[in-house]
Amino acid sequence: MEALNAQEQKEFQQVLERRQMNEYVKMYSNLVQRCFDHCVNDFTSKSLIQKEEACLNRCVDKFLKGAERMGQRFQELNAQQQ
Amino acid sequence: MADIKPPTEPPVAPPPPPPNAAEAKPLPKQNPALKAMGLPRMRLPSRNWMIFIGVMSAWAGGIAYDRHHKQKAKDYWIRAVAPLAEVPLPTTVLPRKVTIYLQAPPGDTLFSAKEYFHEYVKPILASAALDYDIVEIRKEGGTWKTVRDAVWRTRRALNQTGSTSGKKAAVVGEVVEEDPVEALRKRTGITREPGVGGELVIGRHVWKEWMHGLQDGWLTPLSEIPPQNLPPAEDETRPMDQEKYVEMALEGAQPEFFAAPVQAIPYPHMLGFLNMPWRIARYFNQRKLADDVGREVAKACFGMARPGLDMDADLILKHEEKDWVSSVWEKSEEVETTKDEVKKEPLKEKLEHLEEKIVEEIHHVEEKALEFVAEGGLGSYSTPGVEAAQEVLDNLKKADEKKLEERKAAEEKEAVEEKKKEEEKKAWVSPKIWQLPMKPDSRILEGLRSFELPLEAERPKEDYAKWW
Repeated sequence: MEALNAQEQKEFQQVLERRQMNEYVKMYSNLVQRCFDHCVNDFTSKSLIQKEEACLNRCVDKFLKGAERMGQRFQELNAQQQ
Repeated sequence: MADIKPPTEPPVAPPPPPPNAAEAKPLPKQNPALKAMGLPRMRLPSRNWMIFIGVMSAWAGGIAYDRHHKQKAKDYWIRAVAPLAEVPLPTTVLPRKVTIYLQAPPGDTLFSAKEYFHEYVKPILASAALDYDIVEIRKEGGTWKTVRDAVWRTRRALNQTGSTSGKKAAVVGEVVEEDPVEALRKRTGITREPGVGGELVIGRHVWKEWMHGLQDGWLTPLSEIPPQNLPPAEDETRPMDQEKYVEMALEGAQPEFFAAPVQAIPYPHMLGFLNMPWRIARYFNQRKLADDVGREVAKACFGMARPGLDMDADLILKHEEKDWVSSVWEKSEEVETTKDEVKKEPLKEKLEHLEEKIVEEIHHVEEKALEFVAEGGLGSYSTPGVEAAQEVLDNLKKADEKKLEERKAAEEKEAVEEKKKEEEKKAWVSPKIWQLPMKPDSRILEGLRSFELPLEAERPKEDYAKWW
């Protein structure tokens, strides 16, 4: 980072941000796709039925909470190695 | 064969019936349909085959039956503790933690204890979604030392700060302040699920050591606890005398160590060729063991394990001691090794000395001769001869010096190695805890009993001790 001048640093930051955004969007769309495929299977009405909604709630919960726990454990592993 | 006529029979007379024609059974009729298909006649195999098949299927059936019911017994306890895993847990909360003490059983390695744990204990812990720590110990006395040191750490912390923050850490054998993971958890607000964790002690040998460790830890006078847990080389490796015990230093404050329920889990482990019949019997009755172990582990999962409530602590798993290899009961080795050393050393040294002396003597004679030549003792035959003799003499002297140096280096090396060996010996003198009688102090037992249990296990306990 020190080797770059102000202009380059700015660009570098932007690249990093874009990548992070990209990754986040990817994860998000992956989550949507998975939960939609798994839960939504009644297309006779335009709104979600109760069962589907409950399923979606649980699906998203499971995904996010699992990711959170995993992140925590990785953090701990990192702290242990330092 | 029977219908062949004997040649001596006269041809005139009507042929007599063959001697065993009446006894020979006619062949059983075969189903004509099967016969038309060209299938062979159905019949039982021969006597020997019947015996072989019978014996083999009896053994195989016995094993299959046992394993089937073993799985059922395991499944019963797996399902019994499963509701514990259904309770929702916030992401910032960790499940309860159980500490497991695994130690190599007498006469065997740690591997068999591990295998046992994976076979009987782990599935139930996994089903209850409990976190667990395994303390693996390879040598006799390891559990004793671990537990004792943990208690000492707690007491030191209590003595220095008067706070009880170190208690829990000591229970699971880790120090909060130094552990980066614990520090991180504190910072990020990750906590443990409330409720007791507990300790699982697998086998009588570990149970004995655990109790002795607890006792030595709590009842050592504060003045005799080393300031830090020293490396094993300088540490005391003997259990202390019971006469040294004092009143427990922590009166009033109930030590949290006792509040952690401890559960002794049976670990039948029999070795030896002559024990084969018993070992085979056990091999065919593993279902009973699985049920027995499952019950004990489930108790720990529900946090209601506690030893010695209605039982003498000494009687817990006592029947396992009969399985132990006899070497456990042998007196300590020290006496024998010293005897051996006394016998061997002098002769060896003597021989070495003798050898050295002879070599030196030869050297001496050679040198003398060469010196004689170099000084011109042989007259003025030739200067080259004198020079050559001088050279040889020099070389010899150099070789001598070199040899001396080498010998010195070798001696130094040997001394270092011996020191190392001695240190290693000092580092782990087996404390022979397994030999000790198990008579826990009444104060320790009171401490263990003071923990209230909520429920009783639902399934009635059958007495499998007679089997194991």
